Amino acid sequence: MRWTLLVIAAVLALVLSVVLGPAAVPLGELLRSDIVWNLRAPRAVLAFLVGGSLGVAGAGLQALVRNPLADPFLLGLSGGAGLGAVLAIALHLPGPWALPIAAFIGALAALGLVYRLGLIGGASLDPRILLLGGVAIGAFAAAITTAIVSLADAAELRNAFLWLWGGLSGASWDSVLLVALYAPIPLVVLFAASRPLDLLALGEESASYLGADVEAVKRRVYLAASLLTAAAVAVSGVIGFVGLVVPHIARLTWGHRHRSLLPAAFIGGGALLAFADTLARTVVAPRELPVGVVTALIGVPVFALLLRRWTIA
Amino acid sequence: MPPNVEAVAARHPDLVVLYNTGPNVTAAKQLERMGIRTVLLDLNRLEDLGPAARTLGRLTGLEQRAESLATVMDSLAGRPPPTSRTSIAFVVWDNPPIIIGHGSYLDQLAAQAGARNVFGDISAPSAQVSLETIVARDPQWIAVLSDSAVPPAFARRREWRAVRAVREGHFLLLPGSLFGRPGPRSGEAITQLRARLAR
Repeated sequence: MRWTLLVIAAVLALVLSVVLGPAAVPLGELLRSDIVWNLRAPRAVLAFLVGGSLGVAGAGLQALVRNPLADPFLLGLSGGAGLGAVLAIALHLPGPWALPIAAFIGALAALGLVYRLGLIGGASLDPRILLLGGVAIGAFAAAITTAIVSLADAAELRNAFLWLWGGLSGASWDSVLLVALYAPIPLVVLFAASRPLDLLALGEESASYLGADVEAVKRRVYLAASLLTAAAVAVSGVIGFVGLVVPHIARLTWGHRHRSLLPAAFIGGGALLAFADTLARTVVAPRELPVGVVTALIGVPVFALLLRRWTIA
Repeated sequence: MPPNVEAVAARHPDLVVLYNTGPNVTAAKQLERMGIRTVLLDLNRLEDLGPAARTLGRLTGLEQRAESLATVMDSLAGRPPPTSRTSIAFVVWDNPPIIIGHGSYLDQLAAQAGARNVFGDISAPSAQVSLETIVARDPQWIAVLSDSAVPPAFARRREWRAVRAVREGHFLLLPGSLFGRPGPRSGEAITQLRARLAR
């Protein structure tokens, strides 16, 4: 029943995001419209893929660091991506893809540094240090970014922040193809770690007694979740709340077993972001809201409602 | 960014001219407290130019010359715009798309040059819009503040090619020094824009 409802919600979100928009496209011309084919449809698919990826990355990271506050962007990736984006603009890197590629490289650099910090205590990856390292590296990158923006005279640098808070305006079939080819690899790695992630909830020692290769799982989950997030930030900037709230909503409804939790977080995250983006494009048309604002405005009340039901039950 | 008040004070200026924004208001108060004369100017639209010229003339003792400049500026701002033949959209940033609305100086420039800003119904100086809104409003020209002679990088992005003006390469690349802000050369900016639209 709940799976049916979830899938219906997802299909509905996708259909609405193709049918609704600030430009008036008559229903009869929907299938022939250039606006629908080249703008709305790729944007809907990209929203679904990015939302799903953030949902799964968040669920994986929350299990890994055993902290309900873990968010895919807490681990320094947004700071690294922002620095990459600002450098691309400040150095006048040419080409239509310069900014997303630079942001992706920035996120990967932050990921590498945080990973290295996580191993500081020896061969074992310490989740607490991962969290602290992520926050520290993120703040450091943000400080450098702000320094560059305040010292450089190019007015367009301020727009790098807009891009970072961006959303899905840059969606095209090119970016959809990119994510559709890239995301399945880390997603499969995370889905394959479902059972060991369940065990990890019992504590690292108990998990290893029960047959989980704890060190390998931690590394794989951290790298896969971060690589997913880095791709998401490259195509759509930092979209908050999906990676934080969706895993909790999924956990309240599907329980703690990652075999069902992760697919639910993917479909739920995709549906939420596709729906939020439709609202962002239409409620204040012809203007548009940043989609992160809408995800928070929808996600948090739904979360509060479920939390209330769950604590009363 | 707020100015470095100490560095300004160390140069003992007779007058400090600041653009009227929050951080500058604080800086102006600090400078006044040190006995340095300051003036905050609102320079956002054409009609701000005349009063700004008069204020500066009074403070520098060049009232007569300032009045002559102010008269020219006032007539520029008060001139009824010609009927518009071409439509235009000012794109400030591409991802997310930020355009210029009715409240802005560039909207005034376009009107004076005989062009209609397709986002003239948005009252804010600038706003984020969806790409599909730009497609639907179908401007004949996309204007971009740019010192470069080549079209902006977003012209080559697939999603932007849904905009007809982008596909047809109808870009107006406007140098920031002349078009970026209102000033004594605003008249020249209008003349240039009109000439480029007529081509």
